[in-house]
Amino acid sequence: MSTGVRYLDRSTRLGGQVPCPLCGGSLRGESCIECFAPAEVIESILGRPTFPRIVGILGPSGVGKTVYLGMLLDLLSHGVGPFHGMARGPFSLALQRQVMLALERQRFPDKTPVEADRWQWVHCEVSTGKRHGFDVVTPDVAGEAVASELESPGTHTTVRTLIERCGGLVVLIDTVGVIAEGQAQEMFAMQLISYLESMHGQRRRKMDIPVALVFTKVDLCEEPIDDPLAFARAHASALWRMCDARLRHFKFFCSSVAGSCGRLVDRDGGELLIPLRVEPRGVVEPFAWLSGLLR
Amino acid sequence: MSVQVRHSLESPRRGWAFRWLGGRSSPAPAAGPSPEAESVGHFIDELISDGRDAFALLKSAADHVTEEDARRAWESLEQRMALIPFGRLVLGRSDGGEELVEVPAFYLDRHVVSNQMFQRFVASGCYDCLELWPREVWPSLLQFTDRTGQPGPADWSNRTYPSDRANHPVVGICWYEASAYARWVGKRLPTAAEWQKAGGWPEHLGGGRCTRYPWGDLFDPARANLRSSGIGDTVPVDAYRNGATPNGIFQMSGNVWEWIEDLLDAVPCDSGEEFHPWKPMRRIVGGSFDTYLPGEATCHFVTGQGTLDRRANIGFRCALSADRLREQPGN
Repeated sequence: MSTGVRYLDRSTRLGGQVPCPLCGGSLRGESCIECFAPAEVIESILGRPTFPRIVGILGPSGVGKTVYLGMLLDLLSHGVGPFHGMARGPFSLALQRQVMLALERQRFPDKTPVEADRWQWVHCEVSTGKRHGFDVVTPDVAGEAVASELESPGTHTTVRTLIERCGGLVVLIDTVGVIAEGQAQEMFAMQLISYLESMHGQRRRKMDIPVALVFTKVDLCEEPIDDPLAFARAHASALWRMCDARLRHFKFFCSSVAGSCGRLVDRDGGELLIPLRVEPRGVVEPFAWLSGLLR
Repeated sequence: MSVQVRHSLESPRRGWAFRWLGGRSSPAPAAGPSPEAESVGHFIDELISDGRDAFALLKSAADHVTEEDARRAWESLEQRMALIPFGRLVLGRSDGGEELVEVPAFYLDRHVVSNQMFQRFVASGCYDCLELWPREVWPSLLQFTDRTGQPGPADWSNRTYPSDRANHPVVGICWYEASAYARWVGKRLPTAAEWQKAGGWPEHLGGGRCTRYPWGDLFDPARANLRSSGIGDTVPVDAYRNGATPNGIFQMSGNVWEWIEDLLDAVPCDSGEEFHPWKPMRRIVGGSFDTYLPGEATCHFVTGQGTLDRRANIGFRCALSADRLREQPGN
């Protein structure tokens, strides 16, 4: 490893063992043996003068995490308002590339594998127009892994580490699911916040970790766009109450990446949702709000 | 700003409008100048003023319109519309193949329909005129309202557009509203083939393959209002002169998507796949101020929107088949 471990103390470096900056485990081979953070991510983090902010972008399977994250990276790389993102290392571009190439073909990217050692990670240096920017590190987590960790804490170390170390959380909620499929989406978000509280909560005080709650895929249902908070109160009132009671900083947003969607049916009758074009809305806004509050 | 409309479909002259609207037969013309002829001349002026000059030039109305009145209507029409001559072009198919199609000569509006132009349609009570709307949309007509619940585009209030947007494209209208307006002005929505031919004209330079953009094959962010321009909103319909087609059609790329006639019943698919829209969809073309990928603002790109959707980034312009029109004076 050619980079210096600049923010770790000297005794740690002299010990010859490089601890994983995310979970404290150790790097062996291509990844951390505890949280499965890839070596290139660990090296990328260790090469920076300050520890990066960890942002969790989580939600249930199929909510659109990969598309949201890939689109966010692409928007930041082109610059949006005062925000400009710069990928640190080729691994950080892989997810952006995968998402944008798929969208250009009017397809959504492949589903993120459940296995943590196959997830893609991002380390992005973000400038904000102010004197000091910050780094963001986040993996593209499979929804099933999050669900598994919420059900049985300890089963997915990466998810646990991510939530434990995160300075801010983006919780994605499928808008169509909220309207058409009962309480599953709302319950998932509530579980996540409850889990977050188990890590960061303090008695009698609201949590300081900022949480952006994002209704995704609003191209399929535009109802929440004008007033996401009103939509949350009306359609996910338990979640809204929980946020109000437990979180010092939270805000509801709406986002979509596709301007419109259709579906393809293959020979076997399998259905595939496809984006008919790219019209990102509300992708940077949650991140911008969060960035001012990141811990 | 509201526009004063000098007549409406409820006026004594509505008979003319309705006859021409449906192309029905009309009484024989009077011989020589008469009060009726003067009245017709005045009516032609009103049609021109309302952007409905096409009615005065239809072959079906030729017996009722004098040469002089037709000359004035032709001048007006050619200011508003550009002629796209007959030609052949290569169209992409959903299975990845291509086909050569012939496109008869037609006229296409030089600009997308503006708020100011659409105001005449609204003020004339056209949302209540069932003849303009297909029967299947009658149950939905009451939902085509503005912010105040009045008939009109979604972003208007009290039947009036935002005061600073007279010359911006009318948006917040569904495909049926666009189609009804086109019918009211004696025109129709363009087809995908017509759009491709007009936007990629002159296609003969590429052997029947239209250029990607009105100005050529390379994207130029200075020529179209797409997301990369950083404006993030509509601009007036006559902005971006440097992005116009060689024959003077503005904003075939950028500013607002435009409704066209064709159904969206297929998109380019891999082998063994079929596109199934979950609601009736029509094609939209050209890209808009929030279009992220420049390749989606070409005249070849295939996308669409629900027929009843009223989006802030979709407008329209009208087309007219040349063979429906009488000959120009001197031709």
